[in-house]
Amino acid sequence: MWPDQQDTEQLLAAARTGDGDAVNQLLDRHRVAIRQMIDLRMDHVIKRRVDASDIVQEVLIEANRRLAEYLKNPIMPFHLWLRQMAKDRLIDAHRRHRGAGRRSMDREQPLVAAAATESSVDLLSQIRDQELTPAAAATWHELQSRFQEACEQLDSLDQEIVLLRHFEHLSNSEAAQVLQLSPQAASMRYLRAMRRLRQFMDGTNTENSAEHA
Amino acid sequence: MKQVVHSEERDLELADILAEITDRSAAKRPSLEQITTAHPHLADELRALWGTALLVDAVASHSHNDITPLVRTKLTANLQPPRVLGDFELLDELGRGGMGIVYRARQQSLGREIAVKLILQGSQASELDKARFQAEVAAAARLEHPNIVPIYEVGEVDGWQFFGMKLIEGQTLAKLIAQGPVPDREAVRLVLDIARAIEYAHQRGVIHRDLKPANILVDQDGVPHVTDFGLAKHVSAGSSSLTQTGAILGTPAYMAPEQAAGNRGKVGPLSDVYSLGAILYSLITGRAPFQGASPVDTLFMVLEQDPLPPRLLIPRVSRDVEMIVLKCLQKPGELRYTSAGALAGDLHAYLDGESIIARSGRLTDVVARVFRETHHATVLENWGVLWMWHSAVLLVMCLVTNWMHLQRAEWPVMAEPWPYLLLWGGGLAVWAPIFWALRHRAGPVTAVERQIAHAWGSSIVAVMLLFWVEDLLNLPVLKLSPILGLIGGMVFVMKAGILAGSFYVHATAMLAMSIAMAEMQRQGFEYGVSIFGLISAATFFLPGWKYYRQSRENVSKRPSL
Repeated sequence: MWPDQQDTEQLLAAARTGDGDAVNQLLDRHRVAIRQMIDLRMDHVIKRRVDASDIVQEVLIEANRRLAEYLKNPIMPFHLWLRQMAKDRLIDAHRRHRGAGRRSMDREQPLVAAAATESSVDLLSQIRDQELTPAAAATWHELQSRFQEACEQLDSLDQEIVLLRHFEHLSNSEAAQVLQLSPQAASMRYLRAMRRLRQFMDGTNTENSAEHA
Repeated sequence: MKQVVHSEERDLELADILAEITDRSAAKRPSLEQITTAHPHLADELRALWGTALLVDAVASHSHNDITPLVRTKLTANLQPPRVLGDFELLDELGRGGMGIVYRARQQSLGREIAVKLILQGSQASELDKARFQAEVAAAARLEHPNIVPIYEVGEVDGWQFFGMKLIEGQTLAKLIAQGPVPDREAVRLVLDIARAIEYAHQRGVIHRDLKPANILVDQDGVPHVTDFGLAKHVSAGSSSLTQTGAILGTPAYMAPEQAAGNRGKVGPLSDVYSLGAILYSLITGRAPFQGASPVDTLFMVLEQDPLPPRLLIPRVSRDVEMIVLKCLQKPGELRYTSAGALAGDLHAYLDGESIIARSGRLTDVVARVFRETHHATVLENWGVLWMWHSAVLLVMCLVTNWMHLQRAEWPVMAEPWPYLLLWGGGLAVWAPIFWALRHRAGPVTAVERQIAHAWGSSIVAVMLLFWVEDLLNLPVLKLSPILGLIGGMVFVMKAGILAGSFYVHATAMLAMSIAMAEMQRQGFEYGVSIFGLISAATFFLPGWKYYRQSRENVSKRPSL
């Protein structure tokens, strides 16, 4: 979901030479991805009070302000840098609206929200959208709810790594950087998360595995 | 305690493989089969992880689409279509398909009974739905084939879109299958007709994409008619904006793995070949190739498991029919029949009692599989430079050996085994630790590499022991040198199994070298060992160079962090 990194590198190089157009392009091309990253994680209650596009706007403004600093010392890939700012803003928003420390973003269940559809009408339109036959739509529906149920049983770090790897399409090393883990630790985390997910998604041994967890 | 250590090591390896596979884009991932043959000891778990990853991808791409939903009109309660649509008077509902309801209707002008398919959302359909409906009809209406239900007329009345098609009196193939297994020849005859119809559609750029028994009507003469090109998509249209990728389409029990996987791979004519095989399977056995407790379980099975061979379920099924079915149901598309036409050809051959290509074709499949690189081949990227160095060391040692041997007339000690043992033993004692240390610097050593190191180490031991054997048998030194080729050949056969089938070529070269060296010795030609050195250096240098370049390319492609 994040834009092509080679093009980003070129734009960054242009931005270093003071090309204002490049800066605009650079920020603009990340807008959709930031929006998606936020949408994936914003809790339903906050969604009603805070407009996600406001957060995106704030992130881009902050990025613009701090760009010179970043260009001098690019400590991480650009998209991860933007992501970091977006995450901080999200945590702030959750604190403000849900009470500090009561429910931090980390304790939310982002995947559950990500997989859930708002209403059945929406689901119906989605299904039509994808030209599903009724049988396939039933499969889809079941897959989605199985996934949702399985996610509810994962702990938050496991959820987060699944989100990073499959929903944001970050590589293992990028996910490691975001979570401040070594690449090996991240890959082990991911393995563990996928194992559990599979266990919980497998209809036959849900009870057993729930006991283990 | 020991077991804990073992399982942690195993987990590290699994985590490594999983991270690597999922790092690649969907199109560049190896097939499940490649992964499991490369890591047979982890196959079961890799299979489960793989299926899970694909399904999570499917859910993820679905929810991405969800984030920016298309603006569309809301559904309203009134979904009752008018009783008369233009020339057609609707009588009763026959069934529901992908996006429509099928009615029995009367065409008033011609006074005949036909079937009318009506778009499900009726007058409330969005423009997108309407465009899709038009595309579907346009694709299907151009098809004229005795085994495809013909479309008569397309229309729109008060926003209701519909088309009229021939009414087939009879039953669906699904009902036929529900009555139990069908005799081989009868099943083959039915699928032959269907396969020909599908081949005809493919040639006109139309893929069915939802072939299943419920979409095939069998008339009273027992002739099958394919209907509901409801998911048909123009091949030529390329990345059609009308059809979202990443969607799980079709019915899980009959759909090809590439369809089940959502965004992995391309759904194309070979997906229909798979479905044809699945239909034949269910005709001869009375059940679909995969039947999970729920659709999602079926999905997992389609992605991860091999179907039970039909003869295991129904022993009277002919071996040829089983071969044909299993060839269609291959998970990688390239191992199936190349087209629906090719499948039809084989079905025809079976009916005529001729030999089928599913058997002979299997040989080429085996050859193709044999020469494919396994997933382990990537470990070779760490070895590229080392192998090039190794080839240099080998060449120098062989040349020195040959030179020493030539000096034996003036220098009698060179007819003894000791100088050679010193050279090889000493040389390898220095080189092997350097080699291994260099390898360690490139990162942790995997289990596979340890296996290869074992094969290699044993060959070194064998080479050293040859000198002793020669001595014990009172043979002149280097008399047994042709055996070097045999040892080298065996090591390369092992590498071929573990790493990449192309090493069979190297193995053959080494084995042939052994015969050639024996012949040279017979003819009194004294440079056999040098030539052996050149050949064996080449067998290391060439792959070393290839993988060195490959790893360089991969490094430059990796995003800078």
